[in-house]
Amino acid sequence: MNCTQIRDQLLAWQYGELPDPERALVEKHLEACADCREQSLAWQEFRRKLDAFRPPTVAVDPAMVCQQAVQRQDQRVRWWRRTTVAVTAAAAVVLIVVGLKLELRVDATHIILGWGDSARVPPVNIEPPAPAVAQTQPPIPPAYGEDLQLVKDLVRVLAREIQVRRSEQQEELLRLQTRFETLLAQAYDHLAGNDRDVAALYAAHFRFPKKGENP
Amino acid sequence: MDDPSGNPDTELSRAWQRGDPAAFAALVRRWQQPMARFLAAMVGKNGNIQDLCQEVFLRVFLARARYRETGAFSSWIYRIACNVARDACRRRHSKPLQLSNQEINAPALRPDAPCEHQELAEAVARALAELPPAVREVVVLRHYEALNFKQMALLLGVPASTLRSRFEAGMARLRTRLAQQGWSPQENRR
Repeated sequence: MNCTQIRDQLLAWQYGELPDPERALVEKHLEACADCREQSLAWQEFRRKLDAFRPPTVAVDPAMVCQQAVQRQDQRVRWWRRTTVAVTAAAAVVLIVVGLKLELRVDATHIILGWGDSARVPPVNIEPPAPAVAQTQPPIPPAYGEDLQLVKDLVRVLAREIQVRRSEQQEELLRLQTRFETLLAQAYDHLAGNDRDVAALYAAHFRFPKKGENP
Repeated sequence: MDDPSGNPDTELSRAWQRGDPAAFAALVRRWQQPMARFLAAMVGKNGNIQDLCQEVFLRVFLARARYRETGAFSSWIYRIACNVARDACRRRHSKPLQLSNQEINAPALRPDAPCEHQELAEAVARALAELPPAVREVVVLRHYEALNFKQMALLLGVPASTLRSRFEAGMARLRTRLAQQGWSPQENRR
């Protein structure tokens, strides 16, 4: 090995990382080469300088460590418990939604909540929340009971009427759709007839005589 | 690094796993100073080394059930210390080192030249802090903790040849840095 190769190995040699044959080669070279010996001494001096680094003195209290460990384990247990509860609750919600086939739809005037196969349920009117003062007012006196009942009946009648109108509108819509489909079929028939007429006229005016036939 | 068979660490860790608190206290006494040296070299002395040591032993305590005697106790505790040091460096974003009170009060090697020694210690600490963390780790483990490259490879999960390259690069850089600060190998003092 030449000097360059030896100098590459000096650190490994000083830290005892070289296998025996290479170590012997380095030591033999160092005996003979003053420059490499100087390099080796320089590394040694540098290593001594590194040893000037002194760590601070510490005193770890084992009892304190045990106490902290208990606290941390408690924290972990609590975290796991909270996480388990949250995950279980989320899983339960998912199961309920999937199992009951829950369906929630919101449009301009309705919130529709359905479940099971009969997800089409009558729409629930969104009613404006009762004013807060109503809750704080005293109970309604019996004299107003009849009026209230009347209002309730009126609301019920109105709701029924809306339902009836809606079903009438549905029927009307269905009737119009049937009518539209009939008209469409008739239009297609007319178009087909026109096509046939045009083809017949074309054949009559532009037909070429066949071979042997008089024009 | 100790041989797991028949050394005090093996006996103590075995006794500790059986539930002997005195064995854990003995392990703490045996390893607190090596841990302080390792952590101080890794994160700098202005990191709170006492707290970091406490954290190392806390993690050791909590991981008691996971410790197996297949490897040496020293490998295990150094692995934990590496993680603690990395976490601390991540938190501090490797701020440059400053001279701390602990460092000022550290005993000098040569009583006749305490200032010179303190300056040198400070220069070494600064030069170490300037190394990239992966290189610093290898330099500290090899030079200060006397782990060989095979042991480090097991500990860090990096090939020994890579670790050796990192070590040589780190040492060369440290030497250059110290020389730039006036601590060249040929001269004893600036």
